[in-house]
Amino acid sequence: MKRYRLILLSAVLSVGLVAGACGRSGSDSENSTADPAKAASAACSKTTLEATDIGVSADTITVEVMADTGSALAPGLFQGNVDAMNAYAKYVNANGGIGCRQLKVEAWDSKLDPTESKNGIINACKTAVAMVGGNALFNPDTSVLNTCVDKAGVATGLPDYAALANDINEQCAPTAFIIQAVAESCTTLTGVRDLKAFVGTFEFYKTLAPSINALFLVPGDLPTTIQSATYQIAAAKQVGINVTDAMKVSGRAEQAAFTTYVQAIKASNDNMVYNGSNDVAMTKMRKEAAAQGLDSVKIWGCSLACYTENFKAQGTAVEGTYVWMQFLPFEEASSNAANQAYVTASNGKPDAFGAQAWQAGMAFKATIDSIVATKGANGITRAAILETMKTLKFDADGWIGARVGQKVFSECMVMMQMQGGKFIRVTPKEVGKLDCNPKYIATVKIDPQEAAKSVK
Amino acid sequence: MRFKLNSRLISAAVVGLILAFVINKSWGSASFFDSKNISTFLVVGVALGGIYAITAGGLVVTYATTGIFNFAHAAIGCFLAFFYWQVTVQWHVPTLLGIFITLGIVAPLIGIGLDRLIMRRLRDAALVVQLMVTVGLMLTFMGVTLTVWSPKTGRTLDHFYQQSKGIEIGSVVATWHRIITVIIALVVAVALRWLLYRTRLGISMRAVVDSRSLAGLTGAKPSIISGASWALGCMTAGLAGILIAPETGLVVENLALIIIVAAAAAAIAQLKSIPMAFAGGLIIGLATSFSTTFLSFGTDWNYAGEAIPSVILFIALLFLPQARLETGKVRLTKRTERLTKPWEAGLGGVVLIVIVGAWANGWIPWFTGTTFGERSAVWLGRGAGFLVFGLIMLSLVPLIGWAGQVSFANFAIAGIGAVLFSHFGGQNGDPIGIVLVMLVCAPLGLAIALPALRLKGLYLALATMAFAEFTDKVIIRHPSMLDPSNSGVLYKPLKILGFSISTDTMDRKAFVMFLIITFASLFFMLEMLRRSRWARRWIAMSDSPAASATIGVNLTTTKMVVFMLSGAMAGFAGCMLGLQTGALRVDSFPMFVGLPIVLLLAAQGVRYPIAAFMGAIGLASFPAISELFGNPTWLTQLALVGPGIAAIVMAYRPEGGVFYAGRDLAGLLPWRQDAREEKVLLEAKIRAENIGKDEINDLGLTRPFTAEKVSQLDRILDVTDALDEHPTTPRKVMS
Repeated sequence: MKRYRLILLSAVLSVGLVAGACGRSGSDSENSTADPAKAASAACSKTTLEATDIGVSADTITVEVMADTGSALAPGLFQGNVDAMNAYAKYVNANGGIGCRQLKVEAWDSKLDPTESKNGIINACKTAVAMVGGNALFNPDTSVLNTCVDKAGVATGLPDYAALANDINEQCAPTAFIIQAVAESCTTLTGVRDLKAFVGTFEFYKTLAPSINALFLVPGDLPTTIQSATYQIAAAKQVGINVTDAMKVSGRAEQAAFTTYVQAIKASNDNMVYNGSNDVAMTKMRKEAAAQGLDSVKIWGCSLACYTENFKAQGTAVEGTYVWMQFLPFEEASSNAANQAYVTASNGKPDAFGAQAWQAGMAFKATIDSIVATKGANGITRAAILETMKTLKFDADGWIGARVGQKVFSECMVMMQMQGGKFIRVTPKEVGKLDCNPKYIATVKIDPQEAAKSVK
Repeated sequence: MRFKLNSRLISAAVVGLILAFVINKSWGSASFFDSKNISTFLVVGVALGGIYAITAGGLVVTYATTGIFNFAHAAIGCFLAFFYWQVTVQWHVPTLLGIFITLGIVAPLIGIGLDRLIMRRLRDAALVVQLMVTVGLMLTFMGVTLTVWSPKTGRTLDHFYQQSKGIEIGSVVATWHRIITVIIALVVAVALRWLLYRTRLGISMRAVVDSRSLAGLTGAKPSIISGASWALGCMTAGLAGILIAPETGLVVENLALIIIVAAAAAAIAQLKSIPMAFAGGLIIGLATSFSTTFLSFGTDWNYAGEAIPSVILFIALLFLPQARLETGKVRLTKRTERLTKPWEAGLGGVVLIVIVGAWANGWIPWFTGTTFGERSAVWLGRGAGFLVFGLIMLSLVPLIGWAGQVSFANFAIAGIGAVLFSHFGGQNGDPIGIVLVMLVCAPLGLAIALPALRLKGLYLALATMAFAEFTDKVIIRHPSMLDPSNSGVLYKPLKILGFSISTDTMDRKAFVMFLIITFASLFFMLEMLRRSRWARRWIAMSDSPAASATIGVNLTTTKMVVFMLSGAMAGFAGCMLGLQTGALRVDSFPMFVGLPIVLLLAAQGVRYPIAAFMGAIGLASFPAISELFGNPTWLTQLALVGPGIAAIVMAYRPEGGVFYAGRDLAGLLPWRQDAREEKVLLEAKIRAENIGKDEINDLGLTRPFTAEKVSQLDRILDVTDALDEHPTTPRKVMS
């Protein structure tokens, strides 16, 4: 069965640590997706619609969103993905539909269970044209993604527009288009290999302190999450951060256990702590540091894991913590139409997982628009979707950096900071802009399994 | 002076040597002679110890005053901590008033409610039923808390005196909250000790546990006392929850699963001494702190530190005094059962195959038209999963149901079986691997039996729990067992008689049929085994070890055989579990997943092989009903309290659903006079037990002695054995 929510979140967020979501500044966005949409709209009036493939009828296009929502130990864990996709369908249908049809979303609860994840793919293969906006933590057997047959009985495969692919097997599936991209090159998954890591955050931290001694807190409940952190740490070292220690954090650790980390920080005179685990761990770290009178740390950095309502609710205890993300934040939704549409549709309760699901929905729509523009409204098939996604230009209408293709490592970020119980943009200064730079992506050569041995 | 060696001394020496070896091999870079390290070790250790001690103290006091080991103790504390947050943070009630409302009103109400609704019905229930009811309650309190207080909403409980600096000890600050926690844990330990041993209420509480009826006759009011005991238990749980929540965060799993550590501390206290529970908490806290400060286990034993409480629990149980054979009164737990005839068992097995075969092949018209009914690949895959869990339950029937050896380790053994099968045969579809795995798992079951030779009852259950936790954290996570880099499918389809059996879409029907045929075969085997001398020995040993030893039963051999049989069956189930899952993760076999498996079996009737099949049906029922109704949200929420419903049902039907259904159905058959007699006897027993205690207290004063009342009084005082009697019919007044 399944494991604790904290561990799961740690696993998710460690992936978030190393992953990115594409492209350049939002200013290029209109060119990439707007034209195919207009062309698609124009094509609709000329065509008698047909059922072209599984999940594509004359009047609807059915997609499946698979997420872990109903596990007894973590009810509603990724409900944000399902809610976002349902909201996206309403939004799309209210704004002209998709591929001259209405978008229909079927939800599948993968229950933090690999068997149910595989069942979800099998179900989607039978009923949906694609999987969109999913977030299944444990998805090791993705064989059906590759072997799924279409209406004609041809094993074309099943398109998978995942919001977040946590499992390496899903990340590397050839039919996957992943919003939160992957560090692995997928050529080999063992031994010494090239892995990508985002270092834009560290470049920013270096502007805050000329010399940085850093302690890394690594989500330690699963070996895979420890290994995922190793290339982030290696990349930090590569750009000049002096990583004095990397220590495992358990999702179940009591705050008292964080005293050990505080002592390590004091011993190394660290001025930075970077938390790759979840918001709960970061909160405990901050509180324990305060209790122990630690004042040497000037930079408290955290991954997207801390971009939560729970973290905000901790108030002054987490004041000053830096949190980075690769999409425009919800706080400035009015600066971006897509962001605003999601925040409005989420009834003012947006979350990062939901945002990525919405973006996956937009990527799917961009694919369909492109197909309709080139092949007509009856050209929508799985084969066409898979063909189109390989070269799809996409930036979620400027919400994320521009990208081309299925799995792209983002070179963009926004750095936020907790100030007075709110997330406040720190860099880039201009609202509605992403800070994009090719230098923000580093490649490290490392064997994560071997490197994990140095994590205490 | 002559130095006398005894087994306990030898055990202590062996344990000491092993610990010294582990510490030596794992010593990290920190110097023990550095005052900073020492102060960190001590301050963190005592702070953690205080947290564990206060939970363990509550656990012990609940056990001492109710006789029931309450797995739900920490989950109740978790619920009350969230309630306290609701009162003080959301409703802005002042802290002291909030504490009063939570601990002075709500906690006692929960305790009294539990006593009235469930616990008082468990007095004479089998140990496994008592334990599983509390496991059901634990899952329910967790589910209710998660439902009422969504984990997505941010919540925080501040430490007491958070703004004050605390006391500096060496280079470490001991915060006031932690100091208060340790002091309260100590004060509570002393106060509860005084309450239980120096006050009339406390003595009455303990007396009611020893003999409810005798305590009642000496003036105590058992029904009120037992309610007070549960109220006290819930108050201590709530106090622990409120003090611990700022340390763990308001996170349900963190708060509720601290029960595992608390159980270890309580075991050190032998579930009796509250001050020793405090000491136990400190020992575990210090051991944990020692490991994080000074030891480095390396990647191969990455999670060994998390297994420290279970190791301490195991060691504490090793040094418990040898379980003594009970002599004197033999307490029959059940009537002699009618044994299933071979043709009946064979027919039963065939019926199972026919039912599942008909479902798998789409021959049941009622389900036609639904996804569930189409026997889609999805549902065939799920069906295989349910049957695998049924096989694990089946492995528990001879062990728990017949031999009375309550074990929570079989899911862990199945986990080891699954991992081993990925090395021996599973990777190339060779069925010989299954035999190899069973040959390994049988002696593994035997290894667990070793402590069982000297432990019994609750202590054995806790020992098996410790084994399961150790297996999850240390054995399975070792890279040579399960390589974390190997994240894909680990098994090739199994080739048997030309059939391909796996979790692949095309193989799933064959997999289901293979599983049900295997299940039916094992079902038949167990029913035949039940007729054998081995089963009679196991049942005799369960009823009275002393009596069975007296008539020549070798208890050691008898226990070893049943553990080996159960281990081999669990190993087989593990192979199937691996094949069904396809891919394994290092955290696929957590200890607490094994608990609901036992819960499901206990709810159906742990003594009956068919209960394992019904348990599998029970597992399937929620997703099936959910799908038939279109996956409504309310059903998902209902599923969260499902274990609690099972717990309540078990309290009222301790023999299990299969027993009552079987009795009623069998009574309809013309040749089953025995079933009808059984029902009459049971109804008479229930009638006798339902006599009001006040009614007994007043007997002879305001009410006349009737033959029925005298008979009921005799039963309550255990003067006669209710099960040996026929129901009393005369209603004659004795004047």
